[in-house]
Amino acid sequence: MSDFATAIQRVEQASSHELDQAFATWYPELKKIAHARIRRSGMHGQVETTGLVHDSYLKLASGPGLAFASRLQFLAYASRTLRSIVLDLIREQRALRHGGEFDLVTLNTAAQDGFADSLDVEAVNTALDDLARLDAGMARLVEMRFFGGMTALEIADALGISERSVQREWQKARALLLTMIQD
Amino acid sequence: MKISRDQWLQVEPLLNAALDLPEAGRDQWMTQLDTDQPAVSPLVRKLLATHERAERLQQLETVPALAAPWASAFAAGTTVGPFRLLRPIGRGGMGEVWLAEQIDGRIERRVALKLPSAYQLSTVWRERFRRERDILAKLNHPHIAQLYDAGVSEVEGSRGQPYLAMEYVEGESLTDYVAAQKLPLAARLRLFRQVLEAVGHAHRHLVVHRDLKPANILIDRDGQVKLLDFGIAKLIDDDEAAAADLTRIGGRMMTLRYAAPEQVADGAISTATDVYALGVILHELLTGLSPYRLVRDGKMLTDSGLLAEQVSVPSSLSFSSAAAAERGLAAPAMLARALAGDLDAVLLKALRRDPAARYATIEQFDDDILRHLEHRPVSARDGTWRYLAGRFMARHKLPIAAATAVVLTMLAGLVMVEQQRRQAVAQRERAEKHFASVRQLANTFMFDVHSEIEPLAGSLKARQILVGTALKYLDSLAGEAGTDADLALEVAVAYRKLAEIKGDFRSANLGEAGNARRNAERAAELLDKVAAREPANIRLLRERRVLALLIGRMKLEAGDAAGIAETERAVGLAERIASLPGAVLSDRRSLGATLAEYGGILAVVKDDQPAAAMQLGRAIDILETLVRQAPADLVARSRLAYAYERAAISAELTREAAQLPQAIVWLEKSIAATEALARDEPDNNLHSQVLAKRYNNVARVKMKVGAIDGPGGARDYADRARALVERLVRSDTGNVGDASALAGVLATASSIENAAGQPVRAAALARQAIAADARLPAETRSGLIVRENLAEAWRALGVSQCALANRADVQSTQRRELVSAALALLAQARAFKQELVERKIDAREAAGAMAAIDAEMQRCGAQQTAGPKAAQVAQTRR
Repeated sequence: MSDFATAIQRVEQASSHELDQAFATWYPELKKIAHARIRRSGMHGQVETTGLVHDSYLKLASGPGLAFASRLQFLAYASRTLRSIVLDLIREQRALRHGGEFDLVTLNTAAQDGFADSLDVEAVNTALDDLARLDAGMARLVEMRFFGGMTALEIADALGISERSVQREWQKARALLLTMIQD
Repeated sequence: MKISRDQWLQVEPLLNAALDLPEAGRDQWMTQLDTDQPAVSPLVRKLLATHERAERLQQLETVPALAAPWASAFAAGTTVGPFRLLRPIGRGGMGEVWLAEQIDGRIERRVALKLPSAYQLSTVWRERFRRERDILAKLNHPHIAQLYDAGVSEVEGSRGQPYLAMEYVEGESLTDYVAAQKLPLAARLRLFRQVLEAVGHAHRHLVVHRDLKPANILIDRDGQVKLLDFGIAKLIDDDEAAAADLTRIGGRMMTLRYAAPEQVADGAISTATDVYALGVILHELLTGLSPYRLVRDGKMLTDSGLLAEQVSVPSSLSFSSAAAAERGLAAPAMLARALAGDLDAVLLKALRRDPAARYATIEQFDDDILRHLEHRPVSARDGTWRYLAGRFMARHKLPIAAATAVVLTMLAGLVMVEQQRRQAVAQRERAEKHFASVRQLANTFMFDVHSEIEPLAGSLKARQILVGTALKYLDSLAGEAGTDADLALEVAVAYRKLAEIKGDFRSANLGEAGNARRNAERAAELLDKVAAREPANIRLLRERRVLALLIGRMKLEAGDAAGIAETERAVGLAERIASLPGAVLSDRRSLGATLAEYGGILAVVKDDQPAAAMQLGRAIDILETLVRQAPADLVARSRLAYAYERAAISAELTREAAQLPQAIVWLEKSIAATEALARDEPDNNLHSQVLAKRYNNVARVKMKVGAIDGPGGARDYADRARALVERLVRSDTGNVGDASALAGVLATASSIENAAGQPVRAAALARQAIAADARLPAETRSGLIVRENLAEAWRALGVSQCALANRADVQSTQRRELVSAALALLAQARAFKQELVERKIDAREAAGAMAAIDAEMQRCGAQQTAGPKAAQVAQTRR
């Protein structure tokens, strides 16, 4: 097993019932934060999920009786939660629209304002489930990087492995995920 | 495509191996794999290709930016008001935007039609919509997308739908445009100035945009900026209560990346908010990078992140060459160099956290960019004009060509500011601002820069350009300003300075006496006009005193005895100033100096030695007291040295032999004081110039008392005078004052040699004096002091020729030639003295000189007939 897989397994095992409970309790609150962000960014805008993670962390960390073993643990939870929130938001908004058109619901995956490439969020979500069946650790990595906004270095620090190992794992996970999205 | 777990377990190690290879080596490796493991190689190939593409496009590298879903509530072909919808072109903060065409037949045009969505038509949103319409209706500017029409549709199918018809701009966003065009920095700055123009226009109409960002700034097909989307703009004079709701919605709708800290922290909105956003935009435009580290690192900005960030010095950022190239920017090293200094300062000033520390107005921001483009110092830097002048002076030995170049560059700036002012004259507020800046700049030239370069040798021409240009602008301002006493004073000072540069004999000048006098008289007229309204304005009186002295001096120099009365007037003014409640120590010093000048004129010009002695005595009393009290007061010391000199001249002019030793005492005091000044201010040529004249004067008096040889003798002083003047002439070849002093010094030296019985030396020196005079500008040569020097040289040459004719070894033909040449020279000198007598200038002295010349001519003429013997007899008899 790779360094990465070993480390991520350790985190998964450390999941506590208490934290699961806490996230479940806070989920509506987190969604409210997300809604607020969408309103703020307006219809020009985009939901900036890093900001969402940040806001969520402030909310949760200041909550009563919640203690995270590490920032990693929090981020691991948060990125999983964020994935749900993003998907929920998209589905809600689609439901609002009579036609439920699909085409404008996009994830801008290119850097910043360069709208070079867009991926459909549902496609990523579906492929991510497929990826989890091939390699659960890799799917967690995609959640952390893509939905949680963590950098390779942060993940490496959190897992106590080299950035290079994270980077390699990420390259493979991404290639696999995108290949699965392609027909 | 579907990938099974087994497939993955098979290809994963292969993918690892491939990723370990450098990209260049993978092709060969893949070819090998095709042969070795044909079953899995297509999947590996596919994964590898996907990986390389993802690297290139940075896919999934950043967190998802989720766009809200959008389905149009309208269909193409729908009629809204007088417009037919063609196709959707976007969504804005208020709803949809469609490309539409006007179909009411009034005008054929395409518009961008803004349509607030039905669910946004709450009262608040209606209000917002109405406001945007009102705001846009106020703004009419070539760089702001124009509002054509606004209303509520009454057409079937869209009844009740509000709309705003805007100018349809086909183009790219500012960021895309500069990257696609690979615009160099200067072109980016010029483009950005159009943005500033548009925002400045909005601000002048009390509109703050609040949501400035590259996406709202389009560049049309002609490369012109069009500012869009005043959807959340705010009226500066909004009634706060009424605007509260709107502010809450609008205030939080800004794009965080371009929002000002105070906007995020407490929603405070002012024009400074737009300045900040423009700073972020300019930062991205010039560096290709956001000022925020979070954004540069690909993370998203949060409220607290934004508030915590410290903006770095732009040129110190690490630019990657790939990123720079992608944004159409220069290579990193070049980019950093271009940004360092001015642009760093401009960006940091716009991005200050404290709104009050940013550019106070868009115009100031714009002005700095213009300054940078024109290679003038920007206001954002510590360097003010004064600082620049100081820096310029720090390198004293700057070649004068460079000095002139600096001056010219600064003047170009003035011309530019003035042009802007004229262009802006229709807009009153802006015009006033420019009026002030032109005035300030012109005054900076006149006072700061001019006084810094004035003592520099060789700076005359530069000073003339400097003051002349400053004057031109001030004078045109004075025309507009009417009765502003301060401005009139500034203009008067400019005229006076120009007069001094053109032809004030007391110091370096260009020798244009006529122009000089006209300038000085114009200044006096201006002052007299405003002084009539403000008779006790001490500043006007002070300048008027300076002018009275200058005009007096110039009149006297031109042979106009009215100069005496003018100087007397200066004394009256000085006394009045010193008696006013606002008078300061320097006014007392000025009184001393004015008395000294007046006394000198009484002595030399009016030849009223008792009156002169009285005025000079007062002057010396006042000035000696001041110098005792403040030994560091260089001005008082120089005026005192002057008063001593004039006292000496007055004593000499009593023509009483008994007074000559006293004259020498005064002169030696004067020289000692002047030498001390020259030591204390070695770079000030004025001290050297007057010192040369004083050496010359003491040489002449020593000659009269017969103290010719030895240290401190007439010849010694004459040599010192000549060495000093020659040094001055060498260092400042355009300076007429120095050149004419050379003729005078040589003439004195010649007279001394005659007195010492050295006619050969005397003749050589006199010829040099005449040659030096011949090199002077024609206008200067008509001046009395210059002509006096020449007459002195003629006379000295004549006397030397007589002496030579008197030599025993001279042939009679040669003797006749020498004598007739001598007589002609003496006659020329005599004619000049006669002119003085007739014009009543220095008449007694001139008459005395005439008598002396007559005697010299007589001796010479006797010589011609009688030969050396008779001449000797004639000389003995004398």
